[in-house]
Amino acid sequence: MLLIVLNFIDFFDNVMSGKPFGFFASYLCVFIVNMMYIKKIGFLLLMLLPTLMFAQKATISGYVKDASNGEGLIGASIYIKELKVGNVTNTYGFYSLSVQPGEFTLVFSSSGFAKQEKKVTFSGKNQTLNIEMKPESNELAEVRVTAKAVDENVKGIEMSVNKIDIKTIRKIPALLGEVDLVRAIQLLPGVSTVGEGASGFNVRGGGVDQNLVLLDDAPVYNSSHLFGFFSVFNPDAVKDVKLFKGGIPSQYGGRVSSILDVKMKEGNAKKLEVNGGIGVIFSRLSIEAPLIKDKASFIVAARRSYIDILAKPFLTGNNADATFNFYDLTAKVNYNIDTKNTVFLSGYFGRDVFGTGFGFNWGNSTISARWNHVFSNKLFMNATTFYSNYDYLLDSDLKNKRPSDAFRWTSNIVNLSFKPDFTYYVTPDNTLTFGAQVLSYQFSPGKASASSNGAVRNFGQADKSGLELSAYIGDEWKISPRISVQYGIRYSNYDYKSDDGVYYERIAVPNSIENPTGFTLKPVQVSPTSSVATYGNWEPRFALNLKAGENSSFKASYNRLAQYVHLMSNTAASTPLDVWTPSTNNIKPQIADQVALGVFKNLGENGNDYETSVEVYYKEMQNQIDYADRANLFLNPLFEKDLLFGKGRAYGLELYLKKNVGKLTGWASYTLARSERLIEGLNNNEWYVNRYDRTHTFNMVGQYALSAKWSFGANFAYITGVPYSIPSQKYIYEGVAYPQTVPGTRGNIRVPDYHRLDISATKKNKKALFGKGSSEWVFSVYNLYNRKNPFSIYTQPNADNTLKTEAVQLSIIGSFIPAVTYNFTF
Amino acid sequence: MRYLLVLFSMFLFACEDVVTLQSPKSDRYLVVESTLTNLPGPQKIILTQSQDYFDNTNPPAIQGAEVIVRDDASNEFKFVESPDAPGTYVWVPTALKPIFGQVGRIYQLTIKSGSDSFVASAKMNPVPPIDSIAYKKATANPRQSADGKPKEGFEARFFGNDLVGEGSCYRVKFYKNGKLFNSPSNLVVFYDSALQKVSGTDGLMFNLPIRASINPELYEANDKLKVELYSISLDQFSFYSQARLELNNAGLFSRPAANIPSNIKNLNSNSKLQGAGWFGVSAVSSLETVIDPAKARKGSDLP
Repeated sequence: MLLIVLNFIDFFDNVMSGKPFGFFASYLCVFIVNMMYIKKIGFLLLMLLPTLMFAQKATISGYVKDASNGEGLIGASIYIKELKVGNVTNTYGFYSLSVQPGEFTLVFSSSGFAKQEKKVTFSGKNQTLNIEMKPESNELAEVRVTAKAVDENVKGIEMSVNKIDIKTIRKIPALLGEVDLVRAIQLLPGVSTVGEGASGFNVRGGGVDQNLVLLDDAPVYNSSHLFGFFSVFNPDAVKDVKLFKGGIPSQYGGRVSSILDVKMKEGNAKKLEVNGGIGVIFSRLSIEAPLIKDKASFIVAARRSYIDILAKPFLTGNNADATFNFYDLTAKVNYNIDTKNTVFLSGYFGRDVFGTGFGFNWGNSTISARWNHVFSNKLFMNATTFYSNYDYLLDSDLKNKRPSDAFRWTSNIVNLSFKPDFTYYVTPDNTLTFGAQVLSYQFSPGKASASSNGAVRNFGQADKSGLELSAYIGDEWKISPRISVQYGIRYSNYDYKSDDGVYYERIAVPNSIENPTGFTLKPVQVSPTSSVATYGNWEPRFALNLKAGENSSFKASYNRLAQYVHLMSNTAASTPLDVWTPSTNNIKPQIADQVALGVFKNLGENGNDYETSVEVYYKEMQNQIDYADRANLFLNPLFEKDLLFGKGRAYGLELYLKKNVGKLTGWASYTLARSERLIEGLNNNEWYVNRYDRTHTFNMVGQYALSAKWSFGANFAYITGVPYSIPSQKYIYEGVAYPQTVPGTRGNIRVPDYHRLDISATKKNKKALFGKGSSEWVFSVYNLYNRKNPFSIYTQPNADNTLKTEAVQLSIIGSFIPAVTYNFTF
Repeated sequence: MRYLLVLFSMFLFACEDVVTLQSPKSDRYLVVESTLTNLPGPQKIILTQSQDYFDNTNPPAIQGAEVIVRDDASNEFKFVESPDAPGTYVWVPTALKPIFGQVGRIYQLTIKSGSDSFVASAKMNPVPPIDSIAYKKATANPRQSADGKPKEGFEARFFGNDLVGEGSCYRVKFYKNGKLFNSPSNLVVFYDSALQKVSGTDGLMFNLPIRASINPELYEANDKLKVELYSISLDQFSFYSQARLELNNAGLFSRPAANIPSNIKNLNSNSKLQGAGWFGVSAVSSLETVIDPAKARKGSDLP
């Protein structure tokens, strides 16, 4: 065994000898290998090694880029005609093919781009071939749901993955005309939300905190502006969106339900490009341009809402100085140093600001720096360092008018990480990925200072810190033309420290009004430098693709994921004030196991005109958190006392049909699902449906290109109402009808079903401002048939007679909403 | 926060509609409604039965029960059902016992109704005085300006200091011309000197949100404003806080319906009839003032 390990290390040493940072990479390999060896799962290596141990072949590698703007093309296909083998480009547009020497024809293709063929002589030497692909001239070509090869869904190993092209997202009729990424993904099978205006999204019966939202590899902790009406992603700066709901490859980890991987544009490397728009909510402007032609470019994109500016004339008296706005700034630069090195620096800064004298604001900022390095034609590295921060502030005295009677509350979560990821292109049929990540969490869950008549007191929760170390290795292997597998493993290790030198032990006590969970907390002294709790998790990943015919395949996948951060939220929709808390000695990491099976088949004259798929999944989640009645989650150092723990399960069926070609394109999806939890001490210890359980979800998205000038879009959504709880009994207390909620009645009603139709029309103009570029008008109507879709039902005493009770249905959007947006580009 | 949400909801075309629903089926509860005080005069305990949530008929009274309160100084107070008000049990002061409550004592309630026996106990905690009430001219804010309410008038503050010792809890009741503000949003309880239970505000002057909590609408010249402060136990603070949450549990950020705690215990925990409501004892301080424009504070903000 040891011999094999040493061989493995030697192998990489050879590959990287004389290269900068080779030492580091091989050190990393040693780390991974040792870890696996020690943990006696060397069998994985044994499986990998046969694919690594063979004679040197000729390798050709390079980047595939869009000729119009120099952006790397993701998922473009490179195919060797004679050998009938091929590969696709990675996230950065890089590809590598190793075959025996000879003369072959390489076919480069990507949906929406003209196919290119190149005669290439593979000699023994390593060769570089960079390709620029020209967009298809056909106007309709861009009305595609994906830029990937059209049969990727059948041929690729990935399942439970949705990619939406930003061009498609732009054509979906949007609320108030604002193109929105998170709202668009809610139209995909298996994705839902607890309601209009709720922040975040739910994937396959998981909570909003179980989605890892990555913007250029940096996590975004709150993806919403204005609670949940708009997402933080500026559509003008987004290049690619990929949502993993299952079969998650080993390179991703940290959340148990899904990964939303958003890649920002790199910036036009050919010429100055300006995009912008004026809508009802936001006005947008983005500028991208080469810094050094074909070598370096940048993009800066900014948005700001202007409801406040429009509302200003109508605000009087106390409200005259009210501010409420949200803005974000997205920026990125890249520098292509040479054929082997490219660096990227990207950042996002966004904030929501509300205030009169009283102020409330929250926002994310992320910065990520990445370095793409080609060690050899076969070994590609992307090293990322990122910083991510989410914070909020509540201040009763924003203008510092009377500090003697004020209240100020701040909270934040900061991530710092370094993460090298390697791809090793063994053969066209075998690609090895491996890497590691150091991720530090710094939590300030809530600090407040309150003053009354000049006396100031500070209180809240102490700072906490966590360190997550992980390493992974994975292999994608086309065993035969019919069978391909992707298998891998990730190991994550998490360490929790209490910065103030105190941690709490949960001690069982009799249930009481003060201790509704039957636990109290006992403080224990500990050194701030020593670890309070350590967890380690092996996270195996597996995916299989069995081709069943020219255009169909059967897929299966299994994944285990671990999550060490938790969003404390006991409200219907999560609020910007909700606190992220680390796993501690009391809060165990969330762990999810998911199995998914699917059949994928493409139909139509050209083989791929229609994509269809049927998927089923079953997911089990351990260490789920719920809250005791009267749980106090804010500024309470003893909040762990009020937590209840249990498990969750979710299962469902997803049907998907997509039309790729013709004037009419779009998709329809149907999901039948269930999401439940069993929490000790809640609902008589019986399973109950989650707040985000949705039995039936049906979505239809259609886009019709009438002419070069006019195109139309429509989407329809139908979702079963969310479960809700209402009280069973009432009694009169001091002249008011008090509700009495009986144990075991969580989710005892459902709000009525949700459905909605939106339409849009886009008129393209030949010219934009000052006669340059092009522009378009987008007319849209959201909720066309004016349905009052219920968000929730709640009960209350009647306002005029508090002895009487009534049920009230709240619709966040209770009418149709027309909007006009003007977009331009030059 | 809620106000901002309302602002945005208006902008985003939100609406609320009253709908008809069936009440979920469940067992009934015996409900105790009682806050006994150290004020002179009769004290009462009301016993009713709970109803289906959407049943808007009068609640059924529990008649013929035996209701006794004993304190830890061996005093016994018999509560006798009023002939005019079924379900209302009254203790009338006598020359020997002119006042019911005394600060520091623990009171034990016993109820026998049919085959069920209920018990509850509560301690009478001390209450600080209300030092003063101040007011200044103001224009109604959106929350104060419903139909029929004054648009111009006076906004008031009351002042007092939390008693030293963490965990003192209070309820504020406020009256305009003798009429108690009793809507669910006017249920004000606080912990030490803050509206929420947070440690670290012990012994301070009641904080600004508490001082300003007595203005669901503006007061006008010559209005009588009375503020009462009731000492309550920490458990009763939980009872009222939860009631306040449940009664105002609306909107985008509502919580799942949770149980309002009760200190009424059936000695037979398997009985179909369990207890709800609260048996509380409070020491009370109060202050009354008549709004006089000449005495209104001038200048910028009220303290």
